[in-house]
Amino acid sequence: MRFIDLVIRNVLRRKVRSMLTGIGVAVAVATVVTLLGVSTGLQRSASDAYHRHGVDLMVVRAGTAQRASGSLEARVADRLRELQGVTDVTLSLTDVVSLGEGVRGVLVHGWPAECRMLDNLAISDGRRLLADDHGRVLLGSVLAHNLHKRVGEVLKIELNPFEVVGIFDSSNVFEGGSAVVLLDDLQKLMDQNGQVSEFLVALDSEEARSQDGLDRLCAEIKDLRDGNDKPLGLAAMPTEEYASKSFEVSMARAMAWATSTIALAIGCVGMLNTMAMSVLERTQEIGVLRAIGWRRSRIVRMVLSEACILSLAGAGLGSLAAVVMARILAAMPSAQGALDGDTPPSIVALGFTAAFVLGLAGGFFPAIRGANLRPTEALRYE
Amino acid sequence: MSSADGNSAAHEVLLRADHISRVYPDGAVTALVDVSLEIRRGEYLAIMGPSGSGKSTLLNLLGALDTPTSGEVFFDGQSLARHPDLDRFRSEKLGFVFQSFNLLPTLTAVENVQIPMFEGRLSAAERARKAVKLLESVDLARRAGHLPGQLSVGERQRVAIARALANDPALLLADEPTGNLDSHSGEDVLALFDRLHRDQGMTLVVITHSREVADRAGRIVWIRDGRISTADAATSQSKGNVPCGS
Repeated sequence: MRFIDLVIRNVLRRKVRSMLTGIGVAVAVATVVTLLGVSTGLQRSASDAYHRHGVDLMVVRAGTAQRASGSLEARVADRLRELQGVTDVTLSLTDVVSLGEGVRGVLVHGWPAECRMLDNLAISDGRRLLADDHGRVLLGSVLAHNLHKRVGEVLKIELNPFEVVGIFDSSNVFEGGSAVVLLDDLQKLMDQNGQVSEFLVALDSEEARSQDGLDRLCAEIKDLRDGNDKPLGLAAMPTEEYASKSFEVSMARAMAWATSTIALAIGCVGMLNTMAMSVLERTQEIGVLRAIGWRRSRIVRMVLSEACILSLAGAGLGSLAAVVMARILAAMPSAQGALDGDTPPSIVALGFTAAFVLGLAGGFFPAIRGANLRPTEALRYE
Repeated sequence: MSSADGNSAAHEVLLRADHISRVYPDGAVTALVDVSLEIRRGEYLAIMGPSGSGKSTLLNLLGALDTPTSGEVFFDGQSLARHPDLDRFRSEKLGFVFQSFNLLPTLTAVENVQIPMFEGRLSAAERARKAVKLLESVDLARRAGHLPGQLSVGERQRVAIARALANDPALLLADEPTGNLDSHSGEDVLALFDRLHRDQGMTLVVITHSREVADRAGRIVWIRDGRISTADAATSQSKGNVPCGS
């Protein structure tokens, strides 16, 4: 018999109690994996959307928490184009709008007619936007599906009618759930003539894209000044960093962690209760083990191992539930294509780690209590 | 080692209690008062006394399960108070047999016997082989795969004895080993003790209420009100103090 066999027998001794504790941990882990998976997926989608168009750097107004809240003079783009390593700068204005029919929080991009972003869209129906396509819109396939709109139909954006001239496919759910209009149209709609919310910067070489190159360029952009030697107030960051720091992703991540922490705390209390009961019930038994020479450390290891086995079993069940739940959530119309339904292995690993820590935390005090039982008192315990 | 040395080793003091007392922390109960006792290697000693006389307290102190309020216990000349690792000491030097057997209910007989061996260096396979041999020595090899609940009380106590022998202890301490057994099972256990003492020279200390059980020992020590009873000392001496199996 191995030590682990003894531990497993102890866990199986009270099957119903162990099962309920495992389910408690599974719920906590499912919460962690689902929510963190969703927030990570959101970040990944946002980052991929820019990467696919060859965008390496995002330049925004320094200190803005939300992309649509900061505005920049469009003419600053000329200063950016002069910087070494920069090959292209796309002006971009982004807003988050409601489109009616219960579809809310849709990203609408305003781009110039001639830009790499529009060039790279995979049009599946209709055509791309041209320079004179004012009052016209391109829809991502996921958004078009959610809105039940086809080419030639009219869509109202902030009460203004836009004709759908094309639908583009994107494997990226962030992009597939967005709409694109000409920059001028969105500037008028948002009353921000001559303003953009970000510059999408493409670099010309691998050297410029290296960490050193990016750091150098970001510093240069930050230090840019106007004719009066006043800072332009720009902040530049690589696309991954921009995506991770965006207000939506940050909020999603913060909510995910907050909810996950509460779920894990509840799971930990459940584990603590189970292990405390288990040790109490086995007081005399532990007294015998101590009497025959088991060290305190072995008693601690036994109780902690029992807690960790319960936790890891719960983690397995919870991760499975999370994978299924993420797919169900992604398929729901209310998700509007913002979720991809994939659960990254790193998040599953995080769920297992959280469960392991939960097991250690929940089992710690009962383990210490068991180890500190005096053999003579434990043997007398009825 | 010469034969003279061998004889002296057989008769040397294995365990010595030197003026030990045990007062429980609340101060209300003095369980043991100034008890001195020597147990020689290979001796079979019975400690008798009425309930509450301090027998179990004495056993706990001799077995390093508890520490005396005053006085000292020496094992092989070494003070237990200054022993660096009493867990290891109990694991390697002592075997315990309890009145209620205290087997782990989810483990089979052969698995229960392996429990003390976890603190040793044997592999899982070696532990299993040794446990089977120990069960054979208590005539329970055929019951090796049974859970405690599937064994008779006598069989359970024999499993507990096999468990106590798992690490080849120098001293076996038994607290009312026949207290929960019928007379037939009790006789089996006592016969097993006789055999261990006679054939292996095992040092045995048995706590009992029963004169019949105590009479199997080479020496009886009476304890009353926490003290060795001098009135019974003559009885103790009269039974002699010659270890068997030496």
